[in-house]
Amino acid sequence: MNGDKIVFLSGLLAVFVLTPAGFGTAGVAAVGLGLLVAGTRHRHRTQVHAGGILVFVAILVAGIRAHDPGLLLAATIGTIAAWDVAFYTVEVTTQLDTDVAIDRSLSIHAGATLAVTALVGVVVYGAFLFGGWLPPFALLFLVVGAALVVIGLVPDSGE
Amino acid sequence: MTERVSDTAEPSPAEGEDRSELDVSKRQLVLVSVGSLLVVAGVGAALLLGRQDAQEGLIGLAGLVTLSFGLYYGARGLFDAEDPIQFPPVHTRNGVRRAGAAFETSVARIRDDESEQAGPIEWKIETSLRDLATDVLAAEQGLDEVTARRQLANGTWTDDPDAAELFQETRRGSFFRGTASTKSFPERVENAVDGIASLTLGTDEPREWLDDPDPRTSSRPWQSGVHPTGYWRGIASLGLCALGTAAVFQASGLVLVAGLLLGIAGYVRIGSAPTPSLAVEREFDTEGPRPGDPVEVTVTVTNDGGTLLPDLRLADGVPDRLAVVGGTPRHVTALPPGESTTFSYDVLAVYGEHAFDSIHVASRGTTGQHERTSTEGTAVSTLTCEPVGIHESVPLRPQETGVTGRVPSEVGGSGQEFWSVREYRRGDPLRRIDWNRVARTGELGTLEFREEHAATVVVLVDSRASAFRSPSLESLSAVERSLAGAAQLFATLENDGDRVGLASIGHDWLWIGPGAGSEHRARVQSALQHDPSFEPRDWERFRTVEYVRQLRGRLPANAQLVVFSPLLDDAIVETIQRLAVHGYELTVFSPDPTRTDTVGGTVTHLERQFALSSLRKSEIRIVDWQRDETLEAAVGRAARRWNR
Repeated sequence: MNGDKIVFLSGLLAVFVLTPAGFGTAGVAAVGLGLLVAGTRHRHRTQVHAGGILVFVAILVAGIRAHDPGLLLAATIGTIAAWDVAFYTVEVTTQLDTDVAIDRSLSIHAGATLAVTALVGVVVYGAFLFGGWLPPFALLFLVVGAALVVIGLVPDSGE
Repeated sequence: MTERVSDTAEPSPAEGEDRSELDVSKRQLVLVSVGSLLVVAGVGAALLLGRQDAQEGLIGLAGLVTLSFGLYYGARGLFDAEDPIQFPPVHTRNGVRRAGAAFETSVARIRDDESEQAGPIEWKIETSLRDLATDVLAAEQGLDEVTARRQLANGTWTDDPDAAELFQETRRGSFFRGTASTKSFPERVENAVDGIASLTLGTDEPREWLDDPDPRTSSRPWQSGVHPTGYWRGIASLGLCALGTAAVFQASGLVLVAGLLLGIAGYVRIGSAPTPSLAVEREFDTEGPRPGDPVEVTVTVTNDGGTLLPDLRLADGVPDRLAVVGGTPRHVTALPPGESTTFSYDVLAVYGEHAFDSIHVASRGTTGQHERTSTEGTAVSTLTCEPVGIHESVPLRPQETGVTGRVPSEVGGSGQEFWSVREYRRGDPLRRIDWNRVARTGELGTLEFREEHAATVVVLVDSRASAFRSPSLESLSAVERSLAGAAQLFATLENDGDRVGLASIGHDWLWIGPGAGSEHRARVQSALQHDPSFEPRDWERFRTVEYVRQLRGRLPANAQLVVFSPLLDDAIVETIQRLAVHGYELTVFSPDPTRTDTVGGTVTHLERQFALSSLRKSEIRIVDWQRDETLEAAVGRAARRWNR
């Protein structure tokens, strides 16, 4: 399994679904994808982060332009998958100070990330489609705000 | 043999917390404050249902606050990002440096530093290269020093204008930087070294210099414990940015994006690092290797616990004195319960016993948000590398100690080599009577043979910081080869009945006087394997005169000296010459740690050649022990040269 190929294919999904929002937006996403792939190949953490942020900015711009919410979700899922594979590859190499075969552990990690991301995406999209009487912002602010309060009060379980 | 390795103890807190308690409290305060603000905004928006302008205003304001927090903490997360916990270095051996690396580092500083501090460094590099070039021209072309320096000043010593320009007197250091050459100072240095090497090493083709950089390291050294990795640092900030942007621009699609990102941020928070329970087996492909032989180490790790280890990172504990020369002792895999994983790598055998007794383990969950690191003890696997006796006769100088052995003396008596015939004395053994003389002249005469006495030898091993040099970090250093060679020599001389002692050359030096017997042998072998005076160090002060004086105070009067040294600096050459001047018979075994495919390595190689030449002119015997050569072959080659 080639990490940079997975990064490219996942990121390509994001670029593809952002194209209807405008070629400028897709262009920014494409540049971000290029940085993600380059960062994976050269084991360069800053390039990977910069690439991910650029694609995210393209998603924000597409959202401001009232792009289809479902496609925005798909683009976000593709971006998260691409960034995750890229960053995992770079981080393992940095920690072990050498290039080692990471196929097996990368499969498990990337698979888990994709599964969780897809599941949360389905839940969020379902809530969007079948949302209740509250306006969406009010609902989200309530939910997110409550979550932040809880996170702030409850210690990290890994500590 | 397999031994169970289980991390059943509670992990101890990591040394140096990743966040101070104050930072955690501040972070909690911010989260609660922002969360409360959003809840109020949400409630307010719900209550203002029907009053759209007020609702939009409130939501927009809350969105701006959210966006601001998202951008602030996102940027902070990027700038505060830490390296992951670094496994202990393997390829870099403390105190051992590649021969010539210091020269290349100095040249690289010129490349990176255009300030006036570069001037003195440039001058020093130019001066040392000018001295080297002068020596080479004198040796190779028979020029005297004045003529050689004139050629360097005129630039007529080479056809390369860039190399010539380095030594020409039109340049006066950093104050007069106008030069005809378009090349930088480091490039001119490379050309000059190429030109100098061509004069003595042959080949007119321009060399392709090898770039052999030092391996990279992380800023977070290894420590055991449970650590947050910060892997998903920033995802919550991105979610807040999306939410804030959605609120400000009334973009409902971004609400979903925010929900997705914040949902993931919440999920990764509940992940944890699993506790590994591992069984480790280790095998060597060779039993009893010789020093310098590659040995394949195969490690098999089994998940003995009941949980999946989705992200298991391993680094085998390679003993400090062994260099990894093939593969890597690091491995990463996912390991279900009951399954095993195997990895292998090659090490270079070094004289002595080397215990592999630990393995470094880092375990993460599927999210990678937390990491559990530990150094686990394993069943001890010992790689033993014994010295092999030298079958070539080690050429010692004539002497007499009064103890029968094998060194020919200048005294006649009972021995094997014919010495003379003397007048018969009553009591002389019949087998020593010269019957030929009796038959010819009728007179009795007694044959005398050259008496062979035991030699008294002291082996000196150069273990100063400057001797810990190797052709590459994957090769044995000169000191490691010297220790192996000293062990071989000791075994050979002891078998021949000689009395052998051991000393180190360095600031805190070791002394074991000449002796014999099993107890003495054990003491010397232990010292060669474990004494701190043979450990790598970064720097030390060494005073030649003081060392020679102290050594002479301990040396027996008739001791022969065998010196093991790579001969990379003037101090050791001076030490040897001083000992020779004081009348000690010397033989120098010099393991060559240099190479000629890097700029600094070539400079070091040439300087070493002149050191060898200087000692040979003082009639000191040198065994020039090449890189890929056994000590026995080096001794044989040198002995044939001396016997010409």
